[in-house]
Amino acid sequence: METILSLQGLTHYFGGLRAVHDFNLELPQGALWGLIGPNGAGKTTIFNLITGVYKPTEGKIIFNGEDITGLKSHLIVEKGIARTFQNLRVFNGLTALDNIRIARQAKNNISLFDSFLYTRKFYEEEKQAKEEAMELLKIFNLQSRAYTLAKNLPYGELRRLEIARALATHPKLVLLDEPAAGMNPREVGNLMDLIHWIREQFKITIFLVEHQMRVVMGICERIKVLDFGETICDGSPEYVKCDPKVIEAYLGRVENA
Amino acid sequence: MRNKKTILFIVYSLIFYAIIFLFHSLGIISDYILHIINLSLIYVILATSLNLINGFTGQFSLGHMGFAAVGAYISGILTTLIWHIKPGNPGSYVLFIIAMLVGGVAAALVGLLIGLPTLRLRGDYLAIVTLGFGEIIRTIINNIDYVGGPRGLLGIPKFSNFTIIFITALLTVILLRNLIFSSHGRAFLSIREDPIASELVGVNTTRQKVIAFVIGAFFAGIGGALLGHLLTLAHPTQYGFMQTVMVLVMVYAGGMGSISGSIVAAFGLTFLSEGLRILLGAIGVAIEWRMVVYAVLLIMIMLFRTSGIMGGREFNFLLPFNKEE
Ligand SMILES: Nc1ncnc2c1ncn2[C@@H]1O[C@H](COP(=O)(O)OP(=O)(O)O)[C@@H](O)[C@H]1O
Ligand SMILES: [Mg+2]
Repeated sequence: METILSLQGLTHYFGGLRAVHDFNLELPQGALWGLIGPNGAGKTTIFNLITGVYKPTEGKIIFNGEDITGLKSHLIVEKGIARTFQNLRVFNGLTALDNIRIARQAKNNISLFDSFLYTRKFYEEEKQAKEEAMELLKIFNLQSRAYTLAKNLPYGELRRLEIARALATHPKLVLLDEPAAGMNPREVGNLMDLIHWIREQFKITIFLVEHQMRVVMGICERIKVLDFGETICDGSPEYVKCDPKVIEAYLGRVENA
Repeated sequence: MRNKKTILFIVYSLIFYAIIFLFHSLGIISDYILHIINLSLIYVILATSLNLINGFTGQFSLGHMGFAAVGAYISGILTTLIWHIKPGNPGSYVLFIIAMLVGGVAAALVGLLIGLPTLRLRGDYLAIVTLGFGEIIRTIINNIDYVGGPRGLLGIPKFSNFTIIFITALLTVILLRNLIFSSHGRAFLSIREDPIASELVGVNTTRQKVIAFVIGAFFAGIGGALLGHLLTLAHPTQYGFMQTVMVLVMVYAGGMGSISGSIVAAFGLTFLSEGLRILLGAIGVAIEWRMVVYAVLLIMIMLFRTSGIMGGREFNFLLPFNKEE
């Protein structure tokens, strides 16, 4: 199968702290892989490197055969990588509908002239943007919330809204950073079904970060385990589950899940 | 025009215009009151355009009157020193409008020059740079003899009348509103809400910030050109930091991210300011004390009503669409 994302020797320092060291990944097209590890292992940092929030100290990021290392974030999104955030980052002061419509920005070729004068083209684009956004809201069972400000939505709906917003950018690859954080076991089950379903429906690749091991075991085809920035294990869920190094990394911590 | 609500808004505005015009010609509204209405309308242009930058896009510019100075002086140079035109025949008004647009474009170009390097950076650089820019503009004007230096540019022809100012203010409000209620406007708002998330859903945040800043500077330049041709002079002291603070107070008092609020506050504070001038004059207090009133007002807003009069909302008649359409 073709590789969609290739990370080669990714290393990142925050001052003197080495948050990620020599991380490698060959993520196949259409895969659903997971990245787990205790808190502070460097998982979110890897997502931040892929999406251009930080530039890696060393290493390369190849997406669809193209070197995207150090590219500006919005250009990386345009190339087809979308993400969610461990600590929700929805636009609180905007409606659910607008949260989604903004994510279509890169695809929107409305000029300033069209916007100032509300030309025919403006109305056509707006109509299409709205239809598309409503479609996504419906998929995530949020259509009744279209005109509700995000800050007034309950937590579970915000999590879904953020995933919907990521999908609105028309991605090929979606990075989910602890999507199950703060959910009860039943909600986690529903979410995992949803993630599975999204991958089939939108024909996308998913790379998922999680610190609770049991969450990813059920749905990921392959799992990488990170500890203190180092890859300590890589394999199928069954393999990872039984690896003594993984067990030690998790049992050695208080916040073990 | 495909927008019924816009047409309705224009009709309301023209009724307002006709009433003021009629009352003035009947003598119910004095020349003095009309002058203050004219000033208020110019402040509508200045406040809404600053709101685009500070309120809607969440940046912090402190140089708005610097851009107005560029507009006032550039247009003033054209009408006064180069063309020597006087109000009268329609042709001279066409030239004035060209001068005003040139003033706006000049301010926009200066905005681009300042915005491009500054808005790429995160944080408070814009505030510092625009603060410096305001002072630099004043120093430059003070030292150019051609435009009168510290004496100011005098004898500017009085082209700004109620009709011209009203139409310009109305167009400014409609154009800015249209921009704000478009995909560009949503991008501005998303930057204000969370610049990192905005970039990560595909918004070219640097570009959008520059667009908002340059458009804001353009309309500030237009406002400055109107002001110069209303007061028939342009003076460095009219475009200092305290004048920018006055516009800032309007933006914050009216509400960040509300065009309606900026309009209400522009009228309210311009009338308050003139009232204070009269009051302080009558009791023999220096009118500089007005600034203390603004400062106190600003502090009260920050403490008791951070979202301003309108709290980020708009009058329904100003909205281009009904809420759920
Ligand atoms: N912006 C930053 N500046 C300094 N240190 C950081 C920054 N972001 C993360 N770190 C540090 O890098 C390490 C990895 O963090 P992170 O990637 O967030 O871990 P995880 O997502 O696996 O919990 C931690 O020690 C964290 O404190
Ligand atoms: Mg994390």
